[in-house]
Amino acid sequence: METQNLTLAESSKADTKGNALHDSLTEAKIQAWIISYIAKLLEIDPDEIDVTVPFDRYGLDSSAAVGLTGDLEDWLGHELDATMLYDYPTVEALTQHLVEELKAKV
Amino acid sequence: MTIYSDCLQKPLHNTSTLVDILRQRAQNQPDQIAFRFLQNGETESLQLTYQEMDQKARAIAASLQSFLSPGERVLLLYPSGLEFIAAFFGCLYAATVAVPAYLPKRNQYIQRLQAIVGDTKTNVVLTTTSVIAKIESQVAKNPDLASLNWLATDDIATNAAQAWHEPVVHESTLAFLQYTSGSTGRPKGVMITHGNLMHNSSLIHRCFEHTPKSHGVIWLPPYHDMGLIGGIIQPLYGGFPVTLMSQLDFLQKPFRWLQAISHYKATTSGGPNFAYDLCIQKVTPEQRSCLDLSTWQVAFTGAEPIRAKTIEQFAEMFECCGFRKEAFYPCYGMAETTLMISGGLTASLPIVQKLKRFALEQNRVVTARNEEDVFTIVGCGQNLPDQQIVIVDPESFKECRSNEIGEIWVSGPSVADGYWNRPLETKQTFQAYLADDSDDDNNVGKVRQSLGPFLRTGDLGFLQNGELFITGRLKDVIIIRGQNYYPQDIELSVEKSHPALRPGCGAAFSIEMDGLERLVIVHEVERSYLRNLNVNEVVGNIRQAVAKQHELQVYATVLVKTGSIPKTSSGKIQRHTCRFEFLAGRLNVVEDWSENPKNKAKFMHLQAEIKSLLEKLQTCKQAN
Repeated sequence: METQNLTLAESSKADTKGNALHDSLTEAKIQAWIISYIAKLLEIDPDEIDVTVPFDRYGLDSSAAVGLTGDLEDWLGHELDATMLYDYPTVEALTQHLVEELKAKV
Repeated sequence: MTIYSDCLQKPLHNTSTLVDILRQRAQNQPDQIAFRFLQNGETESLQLTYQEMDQKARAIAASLQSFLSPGERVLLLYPSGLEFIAAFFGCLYAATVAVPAYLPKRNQYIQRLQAIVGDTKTNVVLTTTSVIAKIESQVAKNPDLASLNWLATDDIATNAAQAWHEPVVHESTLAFLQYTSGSTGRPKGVMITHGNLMHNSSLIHRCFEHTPKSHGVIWLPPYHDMGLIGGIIQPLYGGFPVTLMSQLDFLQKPFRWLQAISHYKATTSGGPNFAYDLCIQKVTPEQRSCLDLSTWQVAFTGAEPIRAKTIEQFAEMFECCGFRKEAFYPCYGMAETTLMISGGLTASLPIVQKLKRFALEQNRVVTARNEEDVFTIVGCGQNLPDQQIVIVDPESFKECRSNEIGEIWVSGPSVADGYWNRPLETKQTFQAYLADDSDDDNNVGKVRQSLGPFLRTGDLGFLQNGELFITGRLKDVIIIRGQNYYPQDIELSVEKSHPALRPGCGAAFSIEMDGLERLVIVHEVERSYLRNLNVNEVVGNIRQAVAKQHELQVYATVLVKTGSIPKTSSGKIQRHTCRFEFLAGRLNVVEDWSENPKNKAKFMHLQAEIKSLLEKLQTCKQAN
């Protein structure tokens, strides 16, 4: 799966990679990444995705949900739990949780 | 039985059970690593030598012996890891019957677990302290599960091993119950004896050409027959190390699997077809550049339809890592035969046949001449020693001729005795007899080994020059990612998901799209809802219910007119006809939805029309 690496260019400019990485990862960017990922995976239009609707409503199955955490982990450069989509079942909930988790790490 | 192996290793003597094997390995090669488990699929976390594993197993067995009699069933609820293996051998060391089960997550699998508890009448669960902490509150709500005796084996001190006394274990002793997917309400436990395990292990050992220098890498879960018998028991049987990782870690990053093979110079590894597909999709060129897959001798593939395209693509993509296409090892097997039924030669390429798809759908084998309408089928190897495979007409029970498709029947020492506590299903499945057709003109003089009993596999296929080809399932079982799903379970979840759906009037089946099995739902709409149907709501509910309860993605949903779904005269859903009509675009559609608009029924209808036009044109051409 192709994913765009939004942080790469920005992070290289900063003194400490970690901080820059997380500063640049705003809520909006994380949300945009998740939406674009799911839209590509399910071959639907990104506009069709409602951030408050549970992932399974779009038919995302468990293996795809686990796969998403792996790709997201690579993009964020931050270790994620493979089953986190069970706890944060919407784009909105997942994004908010990630923002919290990344803040806590910095 | 004596297992001879490499001269470097002392041969084992009088080994007729798995207990004998682990005991002797612990004595003969105590400090050799038996099992290694990769935490997070990458970091090496824990490894156990034969001696350590033997000691842990004795400690667990001793505590079981203090309150259980031989033959009692013990449920195993573990995440992937070494603790599971110790508990499994602990059960065998106490001559109790191990029952591996899925670990429930949230509310899933609780119903299944409850059904297994009821079926086995077990009152002991072995697990870990962390699992107990995780599922405690869920279990407390369920009286059947809460009343069980929960024992965390990671709490048992290893010096408890001293209290162990060796039980009487024979070839015929029941070792474990392998619960098959079965329909949710009635999972069936296949009864596997030590004799079955020893025989099937010897077949796998011979087919895969294992030696003490082999090395396995396995991410298949231990409650799956391939994960347990192929991934845990086979390395012990062959006296070579295996590196394990969890299925979740593999699914999260499929690269971890190949990375482990590369790092440990593994010789044997594999999984269902989808695992290879995931690697094709997800492994990047950079990742490939640091892989060495040249040691990989047996890349087994089984447990779901094997696709020629996957084999081609994977071999091509990983050739730069030293992967050889000959390493692909298609095989066939099932829990009812312990594991393996057929397999080929490790050094040769998979055998591939191009057949006419249309003929195949009518259960006929016709070699395709032109490129159109071709179905490429991969052979699953040959019959194995001491075993008989026959292809049988499932209606008349007469043996099919070569090249004729029928049900695959098997007999031999790897075939289990039956299902635990299910005399009726055991008789139907494990005690089938061929119709005596020796009076038939074309059978006079034919020598047949026996008329039975045979195991009915429920799979359809044919034999060609000794090579076994699987073409489908006799029943409507849906196989996605190596898991069996029963359509009636899915249909029930669908009809409960929205009041607009007419109860008992839906069909779930799979179709092949882009080389993958995809789930399709066809369901009738209640007449009173026809006029003001909120399609998005209904389709959304269906998708959500199926994802939640079965962890499956619905590929296409078709809502059809009241009373239009194909049924038999007695009112049973005709899933096969439904599937056929869906593909032909002939369903009476109210509204439909698909992940990919190309596969909407209305589009398919158009496609079907174009196809028939083209066919007409071709017929005209030929006539001219």
